[in-house]
Amino acid sequence: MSGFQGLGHHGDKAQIIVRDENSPVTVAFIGRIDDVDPGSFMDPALQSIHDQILAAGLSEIAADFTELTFLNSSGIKSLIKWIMRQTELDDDQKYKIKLLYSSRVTWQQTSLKALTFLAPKTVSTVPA
Amino acid sequence: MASRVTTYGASISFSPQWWSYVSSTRIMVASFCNVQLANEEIADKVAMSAQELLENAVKYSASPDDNVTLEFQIHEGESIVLEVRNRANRSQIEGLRAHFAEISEGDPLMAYLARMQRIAQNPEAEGSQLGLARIRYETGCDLEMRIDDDVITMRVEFPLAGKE
Repeated sequence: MSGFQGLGHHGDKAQIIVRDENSPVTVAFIGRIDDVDPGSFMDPALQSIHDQILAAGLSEIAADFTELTFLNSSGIKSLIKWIMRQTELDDDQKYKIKLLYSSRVTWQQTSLKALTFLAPKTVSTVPA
Repeated sequence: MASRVTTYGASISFSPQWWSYVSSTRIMVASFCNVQLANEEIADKVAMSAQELLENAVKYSASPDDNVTLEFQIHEGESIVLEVRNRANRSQIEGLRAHFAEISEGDPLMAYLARMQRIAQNPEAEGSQLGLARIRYETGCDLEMRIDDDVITMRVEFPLAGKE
């Protein structure tokens, strides 16, 4: 699939980009998310990505956190909102989200693992 | 001969109007821990805790004129102690007491999941209120809260390997 639109950025500190050269399409989180209100750029970007996943009829995507050095709890809130948006879909529209993490980064293992409990059938963690 | 505990540490204070110092302090704490301990796992946990505690201290400070303060000490072979202090008004203190009691009960993962479920049910509510539950779950350490008049002190102690 090509032409997937999806970009959110907060200055030069953080970016959310979509890599669609390979399957599955990957949403990459880059930089550090530690601002007072990361939802101001994360929420619209993830909403746009969610809409495009539905439009493209994808059944699975990857969310790659290995290039993210930090994610604060306000950023985790944005991820929860994204995951819950996906769980509210009809079964034939639901898509799986694989959360890719670095096993060298403690917060990635623990924070992302906790998110899988929100939607254990569709959200999983995978070491990169 | 009794062993001698060597202590290293730092204290940082800044106005709550300077948000960028929160992340600068987190990065400094992580670097300090890494240099002293050569242990990325514990440095990650301490740094995450410093960020979350400082975020709360800055957000809920009573006034931009009252600095928030972070102190941390590495007691070699024993523990790392992290403390964050801020002044807050009465309603914020009462809200924090209730929140702290809620996240301190029961299994840390269950308490954290309960906070996440609350966000899932009401995603547009202001703030995340995940930070303290996140610290408890992700570090495996208990938090202590002390309130002296209008000063809130949050404390986390991370035991170090080698402690007997």
